[in-house]
Amino acid sequence: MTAEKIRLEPLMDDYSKEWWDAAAERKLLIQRSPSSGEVFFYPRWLTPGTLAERPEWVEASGRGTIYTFSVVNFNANPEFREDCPYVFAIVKLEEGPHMTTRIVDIDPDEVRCDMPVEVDFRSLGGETIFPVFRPARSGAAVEGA
Amino acid sequence: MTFPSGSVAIVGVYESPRRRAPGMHPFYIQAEVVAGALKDAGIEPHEVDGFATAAGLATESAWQFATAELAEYLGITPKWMDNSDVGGPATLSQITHAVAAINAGLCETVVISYGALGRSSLLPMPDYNSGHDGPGQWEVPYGLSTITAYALAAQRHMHEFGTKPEHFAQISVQARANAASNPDAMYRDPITVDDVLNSALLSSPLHKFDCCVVSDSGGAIVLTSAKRAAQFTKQPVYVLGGGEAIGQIQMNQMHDMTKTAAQRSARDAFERAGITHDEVDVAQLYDSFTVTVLLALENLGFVGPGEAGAFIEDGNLAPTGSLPFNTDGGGLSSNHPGRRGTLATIEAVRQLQGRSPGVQLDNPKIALVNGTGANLSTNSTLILGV
Repeated sequence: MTAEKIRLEPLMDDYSKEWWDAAAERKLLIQRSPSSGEVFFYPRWLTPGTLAERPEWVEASGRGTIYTFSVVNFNANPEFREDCPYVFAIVKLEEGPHMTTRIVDIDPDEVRCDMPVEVDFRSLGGETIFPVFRPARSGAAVEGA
Repeated sequence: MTFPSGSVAIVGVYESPRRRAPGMHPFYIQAEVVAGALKDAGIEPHEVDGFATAAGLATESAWQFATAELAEYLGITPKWMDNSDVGGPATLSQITHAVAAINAGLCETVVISYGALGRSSLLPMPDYNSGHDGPGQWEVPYGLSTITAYALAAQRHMHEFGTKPEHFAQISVQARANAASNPDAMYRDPITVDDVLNSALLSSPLHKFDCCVVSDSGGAIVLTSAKRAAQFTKQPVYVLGGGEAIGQIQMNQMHDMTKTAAQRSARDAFERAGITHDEVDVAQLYDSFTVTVLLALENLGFVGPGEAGAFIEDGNLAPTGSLPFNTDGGGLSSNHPGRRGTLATIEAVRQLQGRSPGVQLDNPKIALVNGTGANLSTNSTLILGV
């Protein structure tokens, strides 16, 4: 019996789809409070904390550093079993917010915290295009790391 | 208004000796543990007028009707219920809520139970803590498991403070040493730091032996007013303080992974109990993973930021150390059917009553219990005393 590949795709609603549609066009969106200018991620319907207004989309630079990561050699969920090993990570964007992602194009043993990275857009095996991060090509230090 | 410290007591506890129970339904375990705790207290089921449970996925309906399904199954008709299933610390939170309810006159005799087939469940139990819709759509599809969530925090702690895999491993080694004398513990053979480091690296830096066991089991606790507790023959264990706090659930919202909600739950619990850290004789700390314990030591305030590794290395967690922990072997070696806060609380009570099945300490007077739920998300602290 051949196991059918199961892929856990994001379950989008009409609003969140705007973010995923942008990712498919290779744009990484974060959000900004129109009144305070504070930027944040993940996308919210109302600005968290004040709940006073609808946030606006802004495009992130796509540069950041690895806040933390784990090389996943085992995942009990069948959706991810075939992906192992993979590098699951939290990247600190240079604008400030943290986002969840994977690190690609690097030997997992070489991944380090605070390493500069830049965004790329890839399929993880299904139809959705995900922002992922790879080592920064410029090698330039990222401010706010 | 101040917290009514010492106004409510735990008068009965029972931990299921089961660890593997394929073919059972979790309600059978719930019935056994409630019966066991009531017998321990010397209270009849019809006297129970308050009921709280954290049945998790082990109900027919999903968990919003857990209290109804279980009250019906047990044949009790409580007039107060608490269905707040906040994961690991659920029982701790429910005890704090029960103190308020008993003091408000809403009920007098409360049973809090948990039972699950963590190992042999007939129902699917996916290993992620949020859905792949809503906020989880930006995290879960990348492949987050519970192990990986805690691995992220462990990795960052190592990076910031030079904490080593050996420090995490020593927690597991001590838990196993404590389990050796507990006849019900799932694993009792001693292990070494090398054994932990040589076990499978599941999600770096966490190894298989950095993870808790997965068992089919449960436990229950009976509380009543201190006034009524005085009627019973067993030493009542008084709730001196309790506190709960909410952290993040998505890991991308935890901008400092070395700081957890335990800071706030412990601050409130200590303040309400009116005691200092030096007065704690024994700690029962949630040990879903070794890193959960390490982070708790710092965030509960027993040591400063980054100091837990050295504290562990110096043997402070041993029964002879300054802060003996998880004296029954904990979730790492004895029992973890999910929501281990129930069992951690039971072990704290047994210690204070001088009847731990594991390593009984010499006459402890004050125990701290800390529970951590989901991905370092929910947190609850209890301070119990005799």
